[in-house]
Amino acid sequence: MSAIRLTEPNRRNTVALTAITGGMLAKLTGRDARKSRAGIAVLILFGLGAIQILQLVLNSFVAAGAYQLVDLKNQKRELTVTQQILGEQVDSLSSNQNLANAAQKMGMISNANPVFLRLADKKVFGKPKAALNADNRISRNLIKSAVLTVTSDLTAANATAADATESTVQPTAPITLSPVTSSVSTEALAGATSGKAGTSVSVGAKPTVGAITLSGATPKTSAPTSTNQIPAQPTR
Amino acid sequence: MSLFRDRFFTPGDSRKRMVWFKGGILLIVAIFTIRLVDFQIVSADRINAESLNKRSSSRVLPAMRGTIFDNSGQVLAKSVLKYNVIADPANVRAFKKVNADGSKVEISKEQAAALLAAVLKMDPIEVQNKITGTNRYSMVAKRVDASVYEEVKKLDIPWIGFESLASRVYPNGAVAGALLGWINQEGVASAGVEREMDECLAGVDGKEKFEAGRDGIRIPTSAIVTRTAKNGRDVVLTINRDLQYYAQQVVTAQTNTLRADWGTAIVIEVKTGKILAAAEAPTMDPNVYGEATEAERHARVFETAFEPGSVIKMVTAATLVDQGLATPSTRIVAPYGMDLPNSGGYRVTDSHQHGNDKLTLTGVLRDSSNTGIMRLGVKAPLETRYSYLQKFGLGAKTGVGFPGESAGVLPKLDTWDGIKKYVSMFGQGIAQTPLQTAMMYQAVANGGVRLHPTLVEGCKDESGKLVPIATKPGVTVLSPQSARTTIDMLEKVVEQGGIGKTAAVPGYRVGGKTGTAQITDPATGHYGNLHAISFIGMAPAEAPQYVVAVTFFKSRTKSNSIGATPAFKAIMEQVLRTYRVPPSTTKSANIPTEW
Repeated sequence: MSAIRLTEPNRRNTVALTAITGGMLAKLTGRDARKSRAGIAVLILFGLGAIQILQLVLNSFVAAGAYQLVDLKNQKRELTVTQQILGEQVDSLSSNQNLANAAQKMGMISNANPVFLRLADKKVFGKPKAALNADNRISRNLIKSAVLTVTSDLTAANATAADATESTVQPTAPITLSPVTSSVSTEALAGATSGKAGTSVSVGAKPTVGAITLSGATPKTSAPTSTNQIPAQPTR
Repeated sequence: MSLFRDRFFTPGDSRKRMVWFKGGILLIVAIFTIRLVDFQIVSADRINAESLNKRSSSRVLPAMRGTIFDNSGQVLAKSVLKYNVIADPANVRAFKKVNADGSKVEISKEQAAALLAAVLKMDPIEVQNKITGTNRYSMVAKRVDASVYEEVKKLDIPWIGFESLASRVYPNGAVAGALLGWINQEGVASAGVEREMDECLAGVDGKEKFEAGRDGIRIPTSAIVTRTAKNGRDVVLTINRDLQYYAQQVVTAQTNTLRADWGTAIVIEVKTGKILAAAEAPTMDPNVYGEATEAERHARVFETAFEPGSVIKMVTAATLVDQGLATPSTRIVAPYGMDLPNSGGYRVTDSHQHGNDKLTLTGVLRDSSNTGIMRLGVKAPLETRYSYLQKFGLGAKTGVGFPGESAGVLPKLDTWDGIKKYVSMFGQGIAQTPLQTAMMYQAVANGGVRLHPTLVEGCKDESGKLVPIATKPGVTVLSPQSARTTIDMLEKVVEQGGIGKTAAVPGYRVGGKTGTAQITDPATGHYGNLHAISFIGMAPAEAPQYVVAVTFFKSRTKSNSIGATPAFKAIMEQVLRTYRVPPSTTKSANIPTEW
């Protein structure tokens, strides 16, 4: 049940129309007056009709706009869902647990016996030991996560590693004390994480004085130069 | 009757008929006018309101809770939308589905149930039961992920709908699990940082009200009453996610090795009091907090107080030095055992058999001699030692603001009997949390000023700018000289101590103290056979930057702190690597430990 209430603007329009037509009629007489009245009436009717049609057209556009708005809102919702799904996948892939598991699957081992190299005086701190030493070594992830829904696909990575194995020489040379030009240490996986923790990446021929980098017993002389390459074999 | 007819319907009297006709018309017009006035004026508001109510539709605009970040911007907790999958059992029937090639195929109720079950990883019979009945609402699956929601939606089942609801996700699982806390099913922050910072993190739901047609589409130009949803603000912690993960890995592994009840590890930045890692094992994954045990839900680092044992000998030694009652070289003869005066024959022994050892105060710390520390400790008046314990933070909350934090136990001085006056010198008769112990060592490492630890950096404002949490000023516990001397003594523990040596980090000067505390068996009221083993240390000792404190409670495979030092060493090494701390270039002070 609905009701339409008389509104103030309609009453005002009626009064205004009367004022206009009344004023004009007062000046006309006879046949001219009748002609003018008929003309004005037609004009008014035409005007009202035009207004109605215009309103109808406008309403149609507005109504169509409302449906378009709903469509766009639905699209936005779907995109938000997609964004959320992708975000969750990224979170899962970049989680500590996935990185640790991926590192383990690739055969990388964190070295529990890191050796420190002070570039300022080329002094080595600590006794180098092979990463295979099991003392204090934690190479597998121990921290559970219920949202580890997507894990690293290592198919491509393993293929790259296999290629690298064929062209990589594994020397048994002593520790190199010269400034490290490009060393990607698997010690990064001591934290098995991204960011600063556990990483030891030093690039460039002019390292900062006093900077610390990790060294090991069997450094690679043909360490991958591509930043995305994966070391052929775990060495420390 | 004829009189009536004659009077009112006289044939041929058209004037009268006209009068009656006009009267009737007027009456009808009057009735319509009255009703019109009633509709348009008298009842207009009510009718309009009823009409609006029928057309109007409203919905809640859920506010998203703020994100919790670590100190490097990694997400530790965030809000996402999850979905309840609901059915309309009264309308469940076979339906036609349009294939990708445009062909139509009819899906029966049973087939639809099987499809749903496969996507939702549920039993088809269970799904069948949930979609059968005469109800208009049935919950098929609760809180499914967005990916599952998408898959269910693709099935295009007409009698399946969804309810979206904000949910909390912890992308790193159990990393800092108990620390972060969780949000329960009702959306209430129940523990941890979630509860501590709820005022900042929580948002305010909005509301939208509009007029809609039968198809639910909003009527253009209809009035909308909207209260915009106000999302929660973000919180930044002092925790370093990667360091936290590493510490948690180490503590978990060592707890398993020792078959201990639990283990904890804390990393404190000395100059700021920031907690960089607060790890423990076993702990909870807040994503599935319902699966955690009651013990796992608590952050023991903040909430669990226990007798600390020998790590307190550092406090006793520092008190003596600060009061000028002893120096690192002060000599004492430490026997294997000692009967305490006024104790009814209570005897205290050292952990290992030995004769009368000629030790200095530094040597007492190195060997962790109970008898030695008691013989030296009695030089300080009881009230003085008590006040130092208070200044070191015992018996009061640290000020970190963590919900459920324990103040530890420091019994009133007038209740101390003959035994407690002595055993308190090596950490019995008092209780403290792992964090309180760590902050005692932070005080020494920080030149004698104990800071209030911070776990939360701050809360971001609406513009995304971090508003730091206000912290109280530090408490001066020792003079800088006394603090330095205490560190020098602690270095000898790591340099020369039988167990302390295993905590050494190659390339760095490290100071620390072992702790092997007996644990009271609640059943007997006496100390049992299991111990709480700890090692608390700082590095680099020449200018300490970090304090690491590890504890394992009820260790079963190692009965002294030899079980704790490997974890300390591993974590301290990782801390020094993470923050690029240059190796030490100086040597420790030359202090005699024996005479």
